[in-house]
Amino acid sequence: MSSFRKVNYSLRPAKHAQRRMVSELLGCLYPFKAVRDYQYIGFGSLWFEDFRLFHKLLGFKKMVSIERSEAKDRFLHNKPFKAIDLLFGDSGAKLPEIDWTKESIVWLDFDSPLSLETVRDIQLVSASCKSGSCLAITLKVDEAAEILEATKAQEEISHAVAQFTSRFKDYYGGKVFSDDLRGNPFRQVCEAIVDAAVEQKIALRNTEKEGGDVFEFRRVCRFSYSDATPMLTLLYVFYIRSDQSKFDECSFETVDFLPNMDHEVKIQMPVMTLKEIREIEEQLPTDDIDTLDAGYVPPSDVKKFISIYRYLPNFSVLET
Amino acid sequence: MSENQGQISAFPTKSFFVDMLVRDIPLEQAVLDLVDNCIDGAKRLRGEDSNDLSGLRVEIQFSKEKFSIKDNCGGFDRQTAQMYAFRFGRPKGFNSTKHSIGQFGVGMKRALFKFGHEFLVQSRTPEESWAVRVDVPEWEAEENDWVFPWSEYEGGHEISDSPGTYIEVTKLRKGTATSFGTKVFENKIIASIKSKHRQFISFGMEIFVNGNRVDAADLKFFSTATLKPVVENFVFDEDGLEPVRIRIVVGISDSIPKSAGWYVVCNGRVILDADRREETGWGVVEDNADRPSLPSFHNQYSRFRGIVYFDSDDSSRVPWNTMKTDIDEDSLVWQRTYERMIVLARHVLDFINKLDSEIEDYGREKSPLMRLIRNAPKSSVDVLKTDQAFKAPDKSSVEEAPPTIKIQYSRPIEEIEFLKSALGVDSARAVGERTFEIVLERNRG
Repeated sequence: MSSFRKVNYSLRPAKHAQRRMVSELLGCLYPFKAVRDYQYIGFGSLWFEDFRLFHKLLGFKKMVSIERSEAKDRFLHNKPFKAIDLLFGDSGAKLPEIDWTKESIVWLDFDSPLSLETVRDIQLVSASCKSGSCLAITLKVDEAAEILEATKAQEEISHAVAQFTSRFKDYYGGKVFSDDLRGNPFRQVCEAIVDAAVEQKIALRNTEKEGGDVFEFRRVCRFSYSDATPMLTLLYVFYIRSDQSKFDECSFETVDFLPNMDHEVKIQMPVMTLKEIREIEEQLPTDDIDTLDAGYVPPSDVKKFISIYRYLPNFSVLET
Repeated sequence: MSENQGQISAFPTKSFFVDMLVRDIPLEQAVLDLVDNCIDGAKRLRGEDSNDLSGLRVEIQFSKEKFSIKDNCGGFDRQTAQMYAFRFGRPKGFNSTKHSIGQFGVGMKRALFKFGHEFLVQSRTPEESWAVRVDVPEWEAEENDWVFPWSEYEGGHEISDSPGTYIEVTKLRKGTATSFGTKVFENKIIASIKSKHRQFISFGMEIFVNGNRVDAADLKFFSTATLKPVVENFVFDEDGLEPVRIRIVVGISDSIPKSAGWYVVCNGRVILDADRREETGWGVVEDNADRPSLPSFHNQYSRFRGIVYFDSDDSSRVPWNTMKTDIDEDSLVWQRTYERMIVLARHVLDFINKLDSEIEDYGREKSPLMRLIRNAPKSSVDVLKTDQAFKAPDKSSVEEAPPTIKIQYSRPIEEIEFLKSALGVDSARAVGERTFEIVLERNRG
């Protein structure tokens, strides 16, 4: 089933905040090329949330949404801007059709756990994109797909471990235990696998390259958030060595939420009422959380709120 | 007219020779060949039948720029270098390591040429030390001079005070450098060493790949008073030839399809890993109707494990191919052993079939045989050495689950709630049970 049937993306506040944070990072790419002239490739689903936001904030004129659903007319009907082209089919089949001679921003926004197909897509982009391009990958990281498969088949958990190991052993060298396939340890395993997959393709691209033409890749940021299910987003930038100064000029780490490269940004939603939100927002920004009058909101929620308030949607109450 | 008019020179050029030598060997295989050499050193040092390789160590490092491997396995002397290590092929009458795994006399050279354009080999024994440094393009340019020059022993790469060998390759070939620079290749090497050299690692040898210690993939069988794997030892003797000692162990283990099948180990080196092909007897083929065989492999047999060990002081007698990647089906030793493998495997497969039909009748949770297996301890294949027959329980002999002790403890609710969500379970009891299982699994390894 296509993911759009499961959940309406627009109701996910953490996801929304992440999208806005990503857009702030993408805005840093200007030393490579005017950001509006990048092409954007994503999985827009029925809502095209990322497409709407990025078109309005960053001005992309060339955008491609890959959609594997058969309900073509419905997707075409919901397409919000003329700037968006729709490609219908599996991402593995459609990604090779993209014009990779252009600087690209690609968001492989999966709502499923890591699979060999997701690794294939990540490698397709890593093998094709131009210097200055950016790749974001989002994965569901609550538990490995192999656990679900084993549970459904009424198999023991050792089956899941063996299956996972046999699928990903090239990308993950460590011994996998059953608790590595769930929760926080699973997220770390996924990060290592994606890294190894990207690195392998870049190394292959570099076989015949020398000097300034050699490709580099940097993981700029890791997001972890959870609206209902824990998700992970990794953001990479690719560039050739002769573009190193352009990459440095991007200065990603000057963005508020990114103290250093490859920082893990945890987006945690505070539990607060609209009244509390308004009262605290009036006192922001501040360098001194301690002097802030937070009313009855626990300090841990205040901290969470301050770290992401700029990226949260504007809440309002419609019912009476 | 020249005096050679009556004949044509077929003398090979060095570059042609090198290209042919490295063409068909996968990079991974070339690295393993060098590890094999270290292990042969260890066998010379400790005796071919020694089960104690502790204190011996191999360190492999590779990157986009450089490959190196060093060991403290005793080194080898100038004469071995002259007569064997740097010769292409082994001269007749040369006394090699007994029970060796590096038997074909090409491994080291092939690896060095495969990796790069400049290499250094240096070795130290208790009596002497030597070095050979070769710039390959320069060496190839000297068409008629098939020698490698000695150079100065540089030292500085020793693992410990014990003698050993150091090999370094630089100016890597492009394709090689590409692979050496990736985590994926490193993972592949670790996985291969783990599987191919498991026996030596379990004897205490330490192997490091880019600083990561490789642990042995342990092969274990369920082994209780009522459920025992079959162990059979025999010797294959032919007049005037070194005997081959054979040990077959067949039994059942965890239900993991990818790990099920035959493992074939020649002089300690794993040649086949979880093999489920016709070569090891699986599946009836029309053409071979007269050949004894097993049913086609099916996931139902995912508990099947069979291990066959071949050991001989003369390494050309064990049934492996030149790349050590498969068995030599034409070998008489293999053919004799094959027949016994099939006979012994049948008993085990019969039991697995019985187990399967019982699960169908009772369900997975209630099957008495299944319950027995779930709680059964396992024995490593390394301790299963003495002949014993396959023993399987029947329903009447299955006892109730083994005695248990209740564990009870309290923890802060917040921590339990955290673990409930992290482990995906819905009760405090399940947190207790799951955390126990995790720790047990990690410690059993």
